[in-house]
Amino acid sequence: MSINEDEEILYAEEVYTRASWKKTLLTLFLFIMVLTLGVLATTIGASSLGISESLHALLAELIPGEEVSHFAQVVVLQLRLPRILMAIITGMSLGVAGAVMQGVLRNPLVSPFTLGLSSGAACGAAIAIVLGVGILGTGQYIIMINAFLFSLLTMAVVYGIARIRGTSIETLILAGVAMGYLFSAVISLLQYASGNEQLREIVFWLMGGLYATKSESVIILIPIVLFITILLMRYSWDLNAMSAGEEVASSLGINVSQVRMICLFLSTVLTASVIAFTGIIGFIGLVSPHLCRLMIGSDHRYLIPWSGLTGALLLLVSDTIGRTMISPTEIPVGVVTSFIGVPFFLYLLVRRKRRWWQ
Amino acid sequence: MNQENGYCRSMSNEAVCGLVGVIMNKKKSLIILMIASLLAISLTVGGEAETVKVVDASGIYVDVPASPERIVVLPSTPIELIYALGEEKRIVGRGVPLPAYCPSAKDLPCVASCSVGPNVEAMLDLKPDLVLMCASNGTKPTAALERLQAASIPVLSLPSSCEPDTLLPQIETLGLILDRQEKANEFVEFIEKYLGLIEERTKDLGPDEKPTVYFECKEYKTVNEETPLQHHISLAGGTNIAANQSVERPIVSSEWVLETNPDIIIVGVKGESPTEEEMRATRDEVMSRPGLKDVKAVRDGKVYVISKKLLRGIGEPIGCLYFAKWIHPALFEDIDPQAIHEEFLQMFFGQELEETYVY
Repeated sequence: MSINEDEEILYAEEVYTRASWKKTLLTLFLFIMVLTLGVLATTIGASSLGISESLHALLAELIPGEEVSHFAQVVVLQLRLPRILMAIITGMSLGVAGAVMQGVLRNPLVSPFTLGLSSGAACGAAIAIVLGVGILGTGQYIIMINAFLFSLLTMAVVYGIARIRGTSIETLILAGVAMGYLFSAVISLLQYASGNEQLREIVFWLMGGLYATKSESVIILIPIVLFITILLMRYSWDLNAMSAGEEVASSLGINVSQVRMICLFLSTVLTASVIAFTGIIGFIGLVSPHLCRLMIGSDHRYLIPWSGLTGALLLLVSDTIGRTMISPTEIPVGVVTSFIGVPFFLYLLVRRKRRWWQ
Repeated sequence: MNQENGYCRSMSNEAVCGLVGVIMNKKKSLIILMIASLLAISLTVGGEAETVKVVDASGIYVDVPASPERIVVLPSTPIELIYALGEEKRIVGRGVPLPAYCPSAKDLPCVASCSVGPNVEAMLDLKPDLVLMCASNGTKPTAALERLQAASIPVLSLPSSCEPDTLLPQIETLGLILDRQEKANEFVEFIEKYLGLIEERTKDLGPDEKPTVYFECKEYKTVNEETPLQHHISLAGGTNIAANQSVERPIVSSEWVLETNPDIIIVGVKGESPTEEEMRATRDEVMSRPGLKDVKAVRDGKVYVISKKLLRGIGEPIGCLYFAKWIHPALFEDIDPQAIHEEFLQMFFGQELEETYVY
């Protein structure tokens, strides 16, 4: 009897090891896919630059002594590369933040959008746009800083409200939704009151996009995003335990409300930093975690990196299509993201084999 | 009201005015002559109230009261035109945006807003005997128009003034209504003289002699051939690099602009009254962008910044002069747009040239 039990445990261990190896390999595969597509994306664009020339320009940076034309260098390294990197880190941040938020709040509808963060950021940007900041350069920074601070503020308010009622999840989500409505009302009011040009500016910001990416923004964002993502991944086990319920997690020795606060704070900073640069890019934060749950299940150790990589992939593909489909005219990235992401998501929903949400 | 903004607008009335522009362009002088003569003939002296027959935006003849004393004017260009005719005391209400050359119009009661459209109640409160509006686009102005007509207030809808070709008939109409034809003719002559001069000097240029122009109204947001800006660029003898794009105001790929290598870059600056410093900052920003640094226009220093005031309304002809001077400096060596602008302001508004309009 006892031998049998031991065998069973051994067998279970083996299955588990094999499964986690498989998932690790899959994560690696996904990572390589993002890299490959990233390199591929540097070779396509509106100018007549050929694939080999583009690759050459890219390689010339790594291998000294290669000679490439100045034009190719500028196009690939200064125009395409920052934008592609931006797509990858933005998609990654949104995917990671979405996965963590959904895990922490145990609710499939949560995303930076539903918690009012995007509306908060948009409201901050709209205030900066309408209330008399019009100078280029400094003006743009004020919009960014405002957007960033407003989404942090939103989270603080939402969390504060929920705290009064003992951090119940429902209160937190509802407070977020309510704040989102409040900010939308402020944005509408600002749009209503603003002149033609400001109106366009706000609409632009609300649409979001990567076309104006500067290499400086990428350099600022990469360390922030990587650092926070790694920090968040350290909470995977806690999130896994919490998905079984607060009581279970508490009995396992997890300080639930502390983990919840830290995770929400970190994912808010993550979202706010990228949104401040790109404007609102919706959908990815909501859908990328679900896509991954449908594909690999809800173990947060894999779900968080997967969701990040899937988000990166989705945004990279969408942005590349957006900038090349009717080039040189660009299609707003939000439009492409939804056109690609929604059918894929619906397909997985209909075809799903497992109960992907708890 | 948004119809006055002939520059970088996301609303949808360009189609209308673009069409008008195309028709007008071909038979411009003929049509103007026709309208003027028809208008002159149709001045009728009725029994009770005098009316004049004028053409509205849709090309239909309508009767409007002659010499109205209380006019509500929603679009900003007609306000400027009425100021230029020296009849500003008749205006009792305005819309948005504020007309560029009429600082005193700020004190008029504002009865419309950008997003809500005209406020009929506020208009009725002013007891106007004529309302000038631009009903060619949007359901809001149309609804207001119907309600005003129901209240038996005479309304004249004017074409949106995106191009000089719709600007000139407008001032003739206004001259007729206000009985100031002489001044109106003076205005038309002034503008036609310079537009004619530009056309005369650029019309024989071959395709190779037309430098390529990239116009930008926001980072990499440009205009195609269906926008009023196309008229400026082609009149001035340039080729708009984005003319064939399928979106009217597309965002274009930076690498494409780099590869197209435009000879001249013209940037519409943000803000209603930009300072010289803001214009310099705009120019510096454009010139230092990684994707534009190596473009011919930047290398040759041919990057120009222009105020919105010269891209719409009555400032447009002056804007065209600047475009011409920038695109063909040799052909327009003897032309000083700034001096003409000064003269224009002096003549019709009694103002000095104070602000910075280009950089």
